[in-house]
Amino acid sequence: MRKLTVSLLLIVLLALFGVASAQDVVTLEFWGGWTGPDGAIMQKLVDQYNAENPGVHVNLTVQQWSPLFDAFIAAASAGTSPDIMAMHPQETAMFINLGLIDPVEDIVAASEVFQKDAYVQKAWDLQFYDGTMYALPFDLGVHGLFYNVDMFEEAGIEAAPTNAEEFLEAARLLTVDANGLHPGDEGFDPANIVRYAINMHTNHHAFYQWYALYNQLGGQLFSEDGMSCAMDLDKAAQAWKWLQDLVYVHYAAPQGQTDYARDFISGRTAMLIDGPWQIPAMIAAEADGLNWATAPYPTIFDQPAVWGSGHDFTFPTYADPEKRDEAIAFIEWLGANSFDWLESGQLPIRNDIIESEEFAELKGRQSFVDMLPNQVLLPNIPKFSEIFASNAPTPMMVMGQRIILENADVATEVENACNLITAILSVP
Amino acid sequence: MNKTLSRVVWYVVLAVILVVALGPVVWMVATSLKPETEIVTTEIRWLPQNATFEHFGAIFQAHPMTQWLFNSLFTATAATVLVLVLDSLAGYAFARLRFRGRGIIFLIVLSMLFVPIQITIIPLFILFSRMGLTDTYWALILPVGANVTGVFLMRQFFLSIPAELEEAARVDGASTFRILISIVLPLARPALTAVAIITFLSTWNSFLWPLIVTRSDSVRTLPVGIAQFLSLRPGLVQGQMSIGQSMAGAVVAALPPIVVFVILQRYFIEGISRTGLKG
Amino acid sequence: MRITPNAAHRGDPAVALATKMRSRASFTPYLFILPYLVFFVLFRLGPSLAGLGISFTNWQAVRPPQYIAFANFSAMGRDPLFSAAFSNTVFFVVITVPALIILSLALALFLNQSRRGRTLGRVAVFMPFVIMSTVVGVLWTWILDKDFGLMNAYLNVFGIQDVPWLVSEGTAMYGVILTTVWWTVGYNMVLFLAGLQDIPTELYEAARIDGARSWGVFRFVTLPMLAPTTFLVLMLTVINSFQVFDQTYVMTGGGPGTSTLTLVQYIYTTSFQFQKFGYGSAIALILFGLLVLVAFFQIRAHRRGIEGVE
Repeated sequence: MRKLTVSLLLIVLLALFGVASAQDVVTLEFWGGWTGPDGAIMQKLVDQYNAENPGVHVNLTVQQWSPLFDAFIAAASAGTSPDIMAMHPQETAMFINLGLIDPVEDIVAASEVFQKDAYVQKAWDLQFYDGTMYALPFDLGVHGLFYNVDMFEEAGIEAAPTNAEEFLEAARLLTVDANGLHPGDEGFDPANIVRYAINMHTNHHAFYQWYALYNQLGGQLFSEDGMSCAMDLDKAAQAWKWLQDLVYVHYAAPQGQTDYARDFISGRTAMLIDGPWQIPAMIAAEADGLNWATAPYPTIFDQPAVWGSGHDFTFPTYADPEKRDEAIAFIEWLGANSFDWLESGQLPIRNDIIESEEFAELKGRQSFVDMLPNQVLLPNIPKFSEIFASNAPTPMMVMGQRIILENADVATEVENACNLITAILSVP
Repeated sequence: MNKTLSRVVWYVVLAVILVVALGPVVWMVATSLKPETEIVTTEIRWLPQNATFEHFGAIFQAHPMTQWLFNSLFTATAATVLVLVLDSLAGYAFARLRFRGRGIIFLIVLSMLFVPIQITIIPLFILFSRMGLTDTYWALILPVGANVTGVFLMRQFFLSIPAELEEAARVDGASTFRILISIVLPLARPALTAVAIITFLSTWNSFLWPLIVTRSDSVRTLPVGIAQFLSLRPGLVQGQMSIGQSMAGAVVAALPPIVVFVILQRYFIEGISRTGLKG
Repeated sequence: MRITPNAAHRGDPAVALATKMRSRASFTPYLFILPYLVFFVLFRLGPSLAGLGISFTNWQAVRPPQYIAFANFSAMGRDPLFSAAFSNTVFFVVITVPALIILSLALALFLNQSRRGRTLGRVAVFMPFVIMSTVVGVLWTWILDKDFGLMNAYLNVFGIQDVPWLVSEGTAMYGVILTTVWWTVGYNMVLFLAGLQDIPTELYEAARIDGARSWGVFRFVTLPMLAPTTFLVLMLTVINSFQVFDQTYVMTGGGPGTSTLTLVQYIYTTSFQFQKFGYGSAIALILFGLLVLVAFFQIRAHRRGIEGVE
């Protein structure tokens, strides 16, 4: 109760103070979708910048990405925008197509921080659309393999699996039923599995994984003109079949799983495919005895490929042009001071950081960084949402959920999805 | 014997109702008091072993919870007052006063119940933007004034009370406004309570519009604020969300309306009852 | 405002007063209604008409809308998501409305007895309704978790195998329905309780004296007397059920597959996520028409019912 009174008092004081000093301070609206613990880290960075720059106040607005974009579009419909809008590289085309974000080439030309050579090439290249640079890179993330070291030792597995054969063997050894039997053993009881080898996503990460595997087979998604689906249906089905079989044939992954990280941390699964953003949670779980390590995403098929994404900063067209210089200065500062951001688990993209000793000391990151050259992103197209959105019944979501949750026929689902995608793309 | 049996039945059924209705709420409160390690477990344990306020401390420290709380309380209260004034005037006019177009206007008002608010959001936002009122308390309060249910309930109530008192006052030369203030409204306290509760609840809980129209913490409401750390479908956001903090936020958000309801519940049911609902 | 310009009456104070009274009397209603109407037109009717009006355009919110006549409506016929949303919504309504009406009426009848603990019971049943939808969604997603949820844990106690709830196309909608019933049944119950207060006790006594049993009393006294309330509750429940959004938005996002995609969720998705506001509002217009139609038939059925009784 006293705390409440104190904070109420503080708020009143702050309000008074804020009113008094608000006159000559430039306020920057900065929007991002970091709703996890990463939001707190970003706020810390913003606070630091505000403290060091009394003439500027950065106001960080955090909301889940989807409603954040709703607000972004609503604001734009009335001709206003935040000064800086964070997003993912594969989402920029949507907003470029709507005329909501400006190119950043003038910024890059004048910037000492944002120089091509200072960045991992991949991170830099992702910021271009139709040959023009529209966003400034901040971080990248890829899927990787987390594994429980104790369980690996107990099962006698020496190293994390790197290919299909090793993967299936590890999966067999790590999956255990109530009698201590493994799949393939006589009397193995699939209805009473106490530990699974690995997780199986039932949300959008299912088709993220599929996309990686499909790329491992060298598959293509859209036709050259971008007007229709050009999936190799056999390869697409083959990639899904691998994931589906892990659940329904090999019993290596639980059916209808809901919380992957929790299951891995609590020992229900021995491996976890997910992004580096899980690293902070893993470190926190060490206190409860979790012994974890990371390995690259295995190459199941012909060539290495792994799903990935990242964060970047864009400068909205409807933002107040008078604040653009201050906004650029802030983003340059963030770019140059991005080491602290690594606490969120996301991967660095500046060469100096990747090569630094401090980074080498951070646990679990190296396997992820090693995979960056193989990172594949979903195609950055204007109709991204209609095909790939994660919280709507898009063709990708429906295909993935039907295959993984309902054990639906992969060939049929792939064909359905391809037809739906063509229907969406062919509308001008 | 029969009496005992019926008493037993009463208590058994009542117990089942209480468990089903309150179970999830109790579960929410219990979870908010558990350390995270106790939450992430397969065992069902209703009472926390080591009860802790750490989640509450954490969310109050990491977010301007008190500010959000104040914003929600202030806007919900102001909107409720606004609605009571507007709706008692309009409800009285629809029930008692004769004017051209009464029937059709009332029908148009009611028909707005059929339009999903999702499609009104953008036009409304453009309107507030033109008025220069986005990101202000005004944007949160004013649209509630257009609420339909309140007008409907007030009209139904006014229809249900006998008109003789008003006629008498009219003969004595009192103005219509005078009659409403000194005769009708004192009788309408139950209906006003019902409308107040419904308006307060819906304003307190509204999400999409406040999300779109506010951007700074100084006006942002609690539902929008806590949506940042509610653990929605796992994996939808990158990074781990704390279920404990999620539930702590939920408890903070649920407490004020629960308190308001528990205090006012008797008047509420009476109020709804007195609105007559006689069509 | 009919002020007669007749010069002959000008000097007559009595006539002047009468004119003034009459003019005031005809003007006053507008003074009463105007404040509300200003708000209503500005913040509800206007935006709604604007929202529905863009049905005939391909508006993307940020560019000027282009008139495309009925193209949005013909596109619906070819859109598998629209038909999924339509049938899911109808399914939701068909299950939820009877469940909510019957359960809330039963609860109201039960908690209308003057016995100890009835206030507690009423407060408990209404309690969920005061909790905001996002919180309800999060809480129930968690309760319905296939592996670790409370619901399955207790079903197991009764020997029932784990139900996949939100992670299966066959059961996800039932999970949403369960949540909805828990969340909103209290509101209906309060309306029914209010209706029960209005039934004169003499009627019950009369029925008892005539030797009617409980069922008879319910069938021939309570039910007919509750008809107006039932009508209102039914109307409100139907309107709200057709517009179900928050629960699926938070709990399922319309999935798995398209199994819980509802009309309003689809309106929201097409408008905001796909930036096709014109198409979204076209669907809203269809929903509007559907609700007007349903309301019309309900009112007619209600009128018939009343005539039948009288």
